[in-house]
Amino acid sequence: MRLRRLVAYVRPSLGRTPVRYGEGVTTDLRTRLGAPTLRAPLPVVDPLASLFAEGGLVRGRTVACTGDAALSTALALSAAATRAGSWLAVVDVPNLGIAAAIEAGVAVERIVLAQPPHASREWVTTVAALVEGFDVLIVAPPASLSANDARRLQTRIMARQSVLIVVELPALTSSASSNVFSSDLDVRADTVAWSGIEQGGSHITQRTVQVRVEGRRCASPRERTITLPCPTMSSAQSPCSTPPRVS
Amino acid sequence: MLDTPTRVVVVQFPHWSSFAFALGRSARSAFEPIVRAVVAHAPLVEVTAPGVIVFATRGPSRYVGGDESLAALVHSAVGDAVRATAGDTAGATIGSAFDAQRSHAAFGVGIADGRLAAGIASQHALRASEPVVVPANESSRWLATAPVRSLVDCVEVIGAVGAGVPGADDVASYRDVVSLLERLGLYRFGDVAALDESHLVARFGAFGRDLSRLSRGLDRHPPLVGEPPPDRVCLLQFDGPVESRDTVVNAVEELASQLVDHLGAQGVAMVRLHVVIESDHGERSERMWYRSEGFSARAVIESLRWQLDAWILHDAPTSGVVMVRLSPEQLIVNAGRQSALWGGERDGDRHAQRAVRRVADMNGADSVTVPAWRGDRDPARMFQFVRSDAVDLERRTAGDAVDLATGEWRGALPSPAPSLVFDSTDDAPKVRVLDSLGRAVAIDARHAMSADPACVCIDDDTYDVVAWAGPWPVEERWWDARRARRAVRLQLLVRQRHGERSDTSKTDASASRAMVAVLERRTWRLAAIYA
Repeated sequence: MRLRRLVAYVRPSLGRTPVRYGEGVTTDLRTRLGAPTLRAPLPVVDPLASLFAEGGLVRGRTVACTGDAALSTALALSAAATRAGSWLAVVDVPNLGIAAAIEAGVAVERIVLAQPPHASREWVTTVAALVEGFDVLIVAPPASLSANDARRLQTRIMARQSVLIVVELPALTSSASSNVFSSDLDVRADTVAWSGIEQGGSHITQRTVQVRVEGRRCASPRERTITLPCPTMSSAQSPCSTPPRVS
Repeated sequence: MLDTPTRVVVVQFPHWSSFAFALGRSARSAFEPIVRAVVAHAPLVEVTAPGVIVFATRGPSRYVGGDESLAALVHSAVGDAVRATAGDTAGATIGSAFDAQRSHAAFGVGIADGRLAAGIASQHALRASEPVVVPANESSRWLATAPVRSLVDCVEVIGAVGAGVPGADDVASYRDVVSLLERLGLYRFGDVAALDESHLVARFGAFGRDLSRLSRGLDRHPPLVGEPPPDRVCLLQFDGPVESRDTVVNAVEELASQLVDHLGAQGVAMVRLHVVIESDHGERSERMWYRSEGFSARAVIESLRWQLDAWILHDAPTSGVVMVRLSPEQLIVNAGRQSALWGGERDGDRHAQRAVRRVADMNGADSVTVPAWRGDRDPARMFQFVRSDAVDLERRTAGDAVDLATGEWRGALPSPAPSLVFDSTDDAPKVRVLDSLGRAVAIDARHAMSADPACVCIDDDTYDVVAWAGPWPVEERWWDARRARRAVRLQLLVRQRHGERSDTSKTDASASRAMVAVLERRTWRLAAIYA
């Protein structure tokens, strides 16, 4: 009897049932269930966690990262979530240094890079499709993105309970990127000191970054000076990326 | 059906990826000439991983007159192919570098009953540098004296411990299994074979059954008892020759999922799959594929793409594809897959895979990529980006993405790593590094700078140099005239010059930026930005 129940439980998972979110059974369920239940915020590595009142990234929100350390900070923000099993999509950052992501503590097996077309509508459609499967998205919006499309994307982010991190890339690499997103949190990360580098000698060993979090979902601005890469980021071994051993 | 092991030949290169890297080629494509050399003597081979070829002796052995002559033939054919591959690329290689490559190219040919015994025989052959043939029906007795430690070296031949393609994690899992067996006082396969199968299952779960079967010299998978499922013809014929690789793959994807579903509905899964591709002019490519845990539709597609790429690259078919056939060769009882609580496959992985496939369908598979370790001292070449449809995202582990076993690269950029990197082939922003008098900074043959850098021009913006480190010379493959590379790196800390841009109000006065510039062939280019 118990075996039969088990078989009945396993069987449906063998067949491939295509699930299309946003239509059919899922929508019915969602309307019947009402608003999505509140899920715990995504974890954030230790030195950055204290900058968020909730102790992590609240799902469904848009975070704008600016300043000269924007990309490094965005990677650091998504690191703990990927180690806990979330997937990270990096959209329109074709030159991402994976080594920097690993140094920030991102689980490299759960990074996917996407290069959607730059036309506003196609770009938003692609990112919206990625939202279905990814908990964290780091995006560099193209200049052509319209505010209307950005709003639609944010609605999708809220419905799917993911986190959208909009980064500002240095002006010298990309054509001026516009931030048309109305962000819930603004994270400004500016390097205040580079240590190690001199007039010809040594090399950069560490950067000290001042991170300031403010925005409409933040009651009072919080500020903290951290060093990148944080020593705690990559040394912490993920419990999930290594499967349990047979012994 | 008799439960007797298949007699197989195993050709194994334990250090293939290092060898391919020394040649500057990807492991899969560099392995093709070797595969072709073997195919000349045995038409249907199985390439389990780059560096491992397995095929059944039955037909070829009778044709050439015995296992010994087959082994000798394969050994000499593979040896010639390796020499041709190394000589082809290395050209005027100097002696010592060539010898270093040769030791990576060491291989063994082993013949025995069952994959494990043949795998261990190939390990013996590697040390003796001549083929090892275990006489027919002697394998289980021969295996009984072999140490269980050899399991670790045969991961790619016998497949993974659990569900999953062999990877770095699986080698570790096998190490754990071996270490536990040794702590229990079971040093040889004979000791393990003497144990009751049920005890091994109690200790190791499903793998215990496989372990017991392997130790007794049987095939890992028991033959299917009961009625085989009704045959399903999995033949795809195109109306006209199809030239595009993606079209073929997309069309077969549908077929593969139908086949896997059909078998799944019967409660079985295929572990060996025979794939035939035929062009309009009658050219054929056929190959056997093996997955110890059974094929998923994604695994079928991954294998097909590998076969198609190899065929197009090395045989250059003169016409489009008209036919693809998938025939399951060996079936096992499908134990099903259960999403794991810790590790293994989770719901999130499946959702991500689905989203990626959807985006790949929308914008083309090239638009979605995943990083894979390549290893280089150039920050932009340390990782390559692999098309998402070439990997099975649901089973991806950290070992697939980064191989830290290769160790640190001398001459790589020191930590912290830059978050934006530019390859020399990219259209990276143009950079000019100037000294205080406005002349371009040059570096002589002894890596001395003509003057200290004072300012950097990127496109139309000018930045003042605050501090710099270097110059760091990079000289690669100086022994190979064609692939030699000579460059100099400079780490720069710059600050934007005021008054030159109208929108200075936007940028903070103290905002400084760190970057790496590279001088190669007398031109400076931007290599990395610490963003």
